[in-house]
Amino acid sequence: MKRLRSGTFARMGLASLMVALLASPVSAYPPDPDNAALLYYQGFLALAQLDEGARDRIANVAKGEAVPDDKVRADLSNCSGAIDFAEAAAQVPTCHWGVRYSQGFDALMPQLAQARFLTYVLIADAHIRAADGDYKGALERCLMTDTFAHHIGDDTFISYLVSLSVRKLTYGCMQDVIGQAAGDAELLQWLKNELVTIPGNDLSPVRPLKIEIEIVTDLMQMKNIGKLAMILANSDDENIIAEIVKKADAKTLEQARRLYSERMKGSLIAFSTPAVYEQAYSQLSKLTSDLDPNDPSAAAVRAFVPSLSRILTLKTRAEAHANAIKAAIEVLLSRAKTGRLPDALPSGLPKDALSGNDFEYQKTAEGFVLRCRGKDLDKDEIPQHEFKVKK
Amino acid sequence: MKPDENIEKFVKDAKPHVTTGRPMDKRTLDDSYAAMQETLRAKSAARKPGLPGMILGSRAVQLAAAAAVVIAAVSLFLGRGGHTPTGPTAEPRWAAESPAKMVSMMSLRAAYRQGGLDALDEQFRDTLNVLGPPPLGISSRELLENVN
Repeated sequence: MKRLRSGTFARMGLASLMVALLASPVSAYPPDPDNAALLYYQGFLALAQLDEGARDRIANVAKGEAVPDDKVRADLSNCSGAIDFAEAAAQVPTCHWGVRYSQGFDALMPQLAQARFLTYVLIADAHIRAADGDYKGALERCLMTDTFAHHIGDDTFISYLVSLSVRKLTYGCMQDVIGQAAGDAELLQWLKNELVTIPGNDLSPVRPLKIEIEIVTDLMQMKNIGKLAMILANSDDENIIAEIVKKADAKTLEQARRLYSERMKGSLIAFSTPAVYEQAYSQLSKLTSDLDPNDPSAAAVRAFVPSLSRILTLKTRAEAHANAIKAAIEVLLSRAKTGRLPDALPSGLPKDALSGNDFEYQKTAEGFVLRCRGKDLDKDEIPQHEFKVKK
Repeated sequence: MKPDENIEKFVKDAKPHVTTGRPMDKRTLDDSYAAMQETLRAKSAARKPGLPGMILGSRAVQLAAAAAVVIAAVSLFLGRGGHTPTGPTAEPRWAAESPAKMVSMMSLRAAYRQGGLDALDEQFRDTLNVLGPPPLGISSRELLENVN
């Protein structure tokens, strides 16, 4: 009887546990996606079908070229579904877009056009929040967009460039908002802490360079001459394509492959080795400057080597911009403590990535400027970041 | 003399006096871009706007067409004296084949090579004008209307 009773109790206990597990609402649902890209893709599908004018209005607000008016607010209110998906995606660490590398340069990447527009939506929303006095909400949007830039990633060169471009827009908005929120020390401290925890600038051109080397060296072979000729001809003209196919030979392509690999591997070293911007720029420029356009193999290589020094410049400028934001937060925290902007830049702040030195700090009538000490060697200009401080 | 014979004669006669390099590339690009813009403008004025018009008139395609001039130089060298594209009729393959080709890795690279991030941005803008975003106005009734 005792044995029977204990057996019955055991069965009842087990049954109760099973009922409890089955009734649990958490275990009843399949998990949400663990790939952020799936959420972004749904966000793209949920973007409102806005006309060109509306998209331009949103882009202009995002770029800081226009102030948000009622029209833009109405346009953006139709994008709330897409923003919700982007918010959910920002919580997911992993993001795989599913690029079909096997297609080489024919791989389609329609998600990047949508990603660019979603960025405008998010940043325009941040500007609207700031205009309404919700500075924390605006900065949260900026941080979310920074995560989006990270998620866009470095699968290919174009993805990498788009992620840099998204970052530039994000930092521009942050720069604007922190100036407006200059009196709120608690908010600035919160942002400072948040910036420590976000992924940061760990994207690099090294991965896309490696992938391009694979694609191009595979393409520069006689077995793929048809495809290569199409790319080099860049036209539908069958005569040109046929001419290239007819005249190309294994030796020329072998030389082109060797030269291309040599130059691209040189660039991998330059991008992977810590060096001052100016020095790395000079190394990368040399890799392409001596390619003779009259030599068939060198001319073919010229058609495929990306503008390496410009990519380095964009990368370094993005780093400088991020550091300027962090340095500006310290300046504003100092102002919050003392009631006035410091006369000199506090020590130990993040550096200007173009020169490796401290930013040049200058107070202005409207706030202050953090000026790089190194030049953008492509544009021959010294970048500067202006912070307009709300009195 | 036919226009293509003119071009061939020009290349044959003038090539020894041309110094190739970045300034020459830039000058060629600027000239061809201006010429193509004019042609495309004339073309678009002459036809009703529609999908093909949007594709051909887009800055992305103009840039890619300009790229064709430079890359054709490569084909010239590879072919050692081959043909040059015969003007704006030689539209970029990806655009002629399908608007989806506007977002191929090659097409996006070409845009960036010609005009940097601004050109890339412009190409994305054109892509949205041509391809999407998709319509949201589909009711569940419409979705299910062919069921049963």
